[in-house]
Amino acid sequence: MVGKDCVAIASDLRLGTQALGISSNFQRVPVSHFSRVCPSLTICQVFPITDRLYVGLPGLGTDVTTLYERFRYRVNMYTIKEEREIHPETFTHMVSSTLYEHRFGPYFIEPVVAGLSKLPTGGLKPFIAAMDLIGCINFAKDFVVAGTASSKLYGVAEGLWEPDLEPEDLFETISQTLLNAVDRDAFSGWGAVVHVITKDRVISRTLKARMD
Amino acid sequence: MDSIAHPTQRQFSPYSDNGGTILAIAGADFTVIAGDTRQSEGYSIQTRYAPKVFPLTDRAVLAVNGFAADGNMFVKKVKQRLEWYRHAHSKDMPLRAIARLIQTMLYARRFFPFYVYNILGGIEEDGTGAVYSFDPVGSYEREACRAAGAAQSLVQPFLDNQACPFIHTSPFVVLTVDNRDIADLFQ
Amino acid sequence: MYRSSGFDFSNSIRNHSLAEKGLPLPKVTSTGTTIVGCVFKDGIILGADTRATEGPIVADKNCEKIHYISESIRCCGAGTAADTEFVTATISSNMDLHALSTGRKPRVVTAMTLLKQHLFRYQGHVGAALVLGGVDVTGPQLFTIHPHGSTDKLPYVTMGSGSLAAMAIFESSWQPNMTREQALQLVTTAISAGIFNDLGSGSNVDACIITATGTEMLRNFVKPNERVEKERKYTFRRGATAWKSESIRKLIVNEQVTPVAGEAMDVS
Repeated sequence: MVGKDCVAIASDLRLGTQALGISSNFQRVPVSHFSRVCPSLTICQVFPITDRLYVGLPGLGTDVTTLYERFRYRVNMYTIKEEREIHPETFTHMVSSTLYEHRFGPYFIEPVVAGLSKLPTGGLKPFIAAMDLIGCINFAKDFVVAGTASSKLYGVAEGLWEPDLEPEDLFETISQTLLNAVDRDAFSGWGAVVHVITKDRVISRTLKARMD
Repeated sequence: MDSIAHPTQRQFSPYSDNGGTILAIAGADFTVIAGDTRQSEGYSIQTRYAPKVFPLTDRAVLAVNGFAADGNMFVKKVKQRLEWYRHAHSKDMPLRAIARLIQTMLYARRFFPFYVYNILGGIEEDGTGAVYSFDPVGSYEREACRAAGAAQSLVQPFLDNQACPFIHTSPFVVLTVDNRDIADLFQ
Repeated sequence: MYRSSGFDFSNSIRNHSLAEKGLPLPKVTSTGTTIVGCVFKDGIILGADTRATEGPIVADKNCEKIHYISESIRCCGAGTAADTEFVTATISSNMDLHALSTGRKPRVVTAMTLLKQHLFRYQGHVGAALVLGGVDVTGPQLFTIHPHGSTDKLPYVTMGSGSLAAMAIFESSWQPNMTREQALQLVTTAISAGIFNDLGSGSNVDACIITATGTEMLRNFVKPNERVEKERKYTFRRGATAWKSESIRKLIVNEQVTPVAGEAMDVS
């Protein structure tokens, strides 16, 4: 979600939501169990890329890990080669082309990018984008959503979001949007994390949420 | 090559989805019930004005969503049953009785259902606002707020957030301290 | 790490087995779309709506469907959004290289041939339905390209789920040698017909006028579906959401480098 000189990115903490059905077929431990045993793995659905750039990777657990490592590698190579930080726009196109490369055997991931991009004047501009699993970018001015609860998130966000929210107000709006949407989604929930990215700091909070 | 005789398969698909959304919110002594008026099939609009919210009595309004032909016929049948009731008992049927009537009418067609999602809104005999929502075969529940139809998944969580915490119509409304503004409730 | 160019099919076997176990493929963004193009006296006008959909959900209310190929060639895309986006970007890049190697301004037929060969190679699996238009040395050119690679060359064309609604307007009102104003009005009406009568299309009208003298991109030329301001505020009281833990990472906003006194390093 975009606010006044800030952006926020939020996610629930449950791992591989849709995979729950399959995983119980071929795994000894259901995915749901797994996330409780190893919370650190599931918390990292939203990853920092640079100081003011975060990416959310909702989808199949294995692809979350694979793609994050892939992006980490490519961002590092970019930083070394270019001798500067990657811009959110550039990173988004990097993610998008990686996904489209797998057009006919896609990764089951719908990434969300949120960050502040540097202007030539030195100022910072909020930037958000979302992609489908084959890399079609949606540059939005207001909010983007992804994952199993996406239709619910669209509904609540469309109702609650308003322009130019201050960081603390944006936190309330994005948190309420996420919590109320995942409460109506059987595949999401189990805690939530919110990152609010501003000019001088990143506030990360884990929310108190229903655990059923 | 000689053609071989093939078995012919015939299909009967009497249902379609005509889109649209309905919703209702119950208050302490009122109910708001609404619906859009577009009727569509696939990517085309059949009409821009086809109401799907119908007054039944002075204290009951029924909104029907799903397959429009079934919806219209169902409302017609409910209205007929209410008229018979009025002639037999010289009064309007109370809301909770209408809700039970709708359940039996829907379940009577358990194996060839009316393809409609019903929301019944109105005032109970004790004066409280009430919303009843039904599935196509008659499972129903009294609730504080409910949306149904094409945009149900978009509207319902928004109603949960905005309407439910402030209105205590159902003892089953679960208020969790974590994500709702409890302070406002006691003001 | 070496990776060959082109598509990577390495996930295909895995995805096939996942599909057999019942994991559905998430929905891809598609553009239900009304896109049109028409020839007028001095050139070509392309038009598009701005709605992108994910099944029955509107994914993007103001997306851009008129893609850049070259300065005087543009391409409207319908179908799978990622395919229209990448296929036009690839061909745009190839057209640039082609122009550089031949030293000539690119022609519309060249773009059309590259596009149809690409689409035919993928047998319709690259789901792009395109309206390609532009002005080159041979004059104004307008084509439609279907996902399997077939093409048409016509004076007025429509594509996408709103194509019938838009074509109805063209069939009843298009005439040869229209002025720029008449043609722009006609394209706007055709796109509006799609926006209002086809549920897969919506929001605003984009138009692009290409003539021998230049290209004019009219982004959001008409906005007939502006959202009215909300009647009430939906902000929450600060502190309404309960949270369990917090971590704040302070970032460097600006830094000042103060040179330490002393002799500068010899870098000669």
